[in-house]
Amino acid sequence: MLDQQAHLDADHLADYLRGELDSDAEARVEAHISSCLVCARRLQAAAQLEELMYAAAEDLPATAAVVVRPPVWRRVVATAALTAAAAAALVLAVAPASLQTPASTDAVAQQQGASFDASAFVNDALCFPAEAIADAEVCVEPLAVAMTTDPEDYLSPFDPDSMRPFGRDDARATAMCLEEGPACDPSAG
Amino acid sequence: MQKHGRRVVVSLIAKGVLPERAKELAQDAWLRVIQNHRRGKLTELKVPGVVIKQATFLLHDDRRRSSSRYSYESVDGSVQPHRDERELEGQAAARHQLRKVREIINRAHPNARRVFEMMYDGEARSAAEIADVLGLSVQRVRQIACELRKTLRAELHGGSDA
Repeated sequence: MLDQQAHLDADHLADYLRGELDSDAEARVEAHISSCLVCARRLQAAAQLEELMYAAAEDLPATAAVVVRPPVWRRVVATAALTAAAAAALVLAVAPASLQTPASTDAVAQQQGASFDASAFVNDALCFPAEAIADAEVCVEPLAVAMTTDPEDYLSPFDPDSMRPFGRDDARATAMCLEEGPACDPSAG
Repeated sequence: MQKHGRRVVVSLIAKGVLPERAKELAQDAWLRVIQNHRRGKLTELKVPGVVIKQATFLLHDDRRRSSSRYSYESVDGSVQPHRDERELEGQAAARHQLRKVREIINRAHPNARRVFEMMYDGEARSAAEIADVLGLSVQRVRQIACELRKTLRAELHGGSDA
């Protein structure tokens, strides 16, 4: 019953026993088994292992229905949602604050002796120059500034003609610049 | 029937029956169980357990008939105690192996354990179905199962992997 063909490996035999092979591959395994004593014994050993595993599974305490990883469709939806959220955050970050400046920040700025123009600009963070405010740490986080529900509020911080910030003629507004914003250099013009 | 049919065949192959004969015996066992169920002889139909028992009975009957046909040993009964002894030894070895398998499964990685539970919980799920539920790729599920079997073979038999 021994032949010269290569013997079947244990994984292939396990796939056969579990019915994971297509009909052609299954027929080839059966044809080989019928003429190869070594593989017939291996198949028996693999089947005994399968039986042991079935028996072991019967008595194992059931693991809580915890999904190791969410299904693919859920991951796709989650990725799409995260992408949309990131895009929205990016839009909010580059959009002007317009009318939605947090009152608390405004109050802090006024308390520090600086007036805050709500139509100023928003970038990574809106900070006040050190001359105007003793505490240089006072910055407005972009998401907090730009949180608004009306898309009409997202106005460009720059004058489309001059490409300079609105209110540039105002000395205080001039002092309030974007961080590293090329169009908002107080020393320029 | 199709869902659990494989399990019956595997149980026969584990007893040393060649695949083709195992399929024939399994089919015969299914037919008998269905007939008995229709006649009302089986009040409770637990598949595949009852079919595996029926198939095992058919196998023993098959072997008894062929051994009485070709051998005289069973006539005087002298073989019987020896066979019982071997069966007892086999049962003890099986219990020991089962205990070992449980230990190995218990200390396996949670992912491997989850795949194992879904693969062998009697629902006869395919690797693709398990992959879908667990959110893993089919290839990964097969890989986990293969690694687990490899570990089991190594610990049960000293591991000769071909």
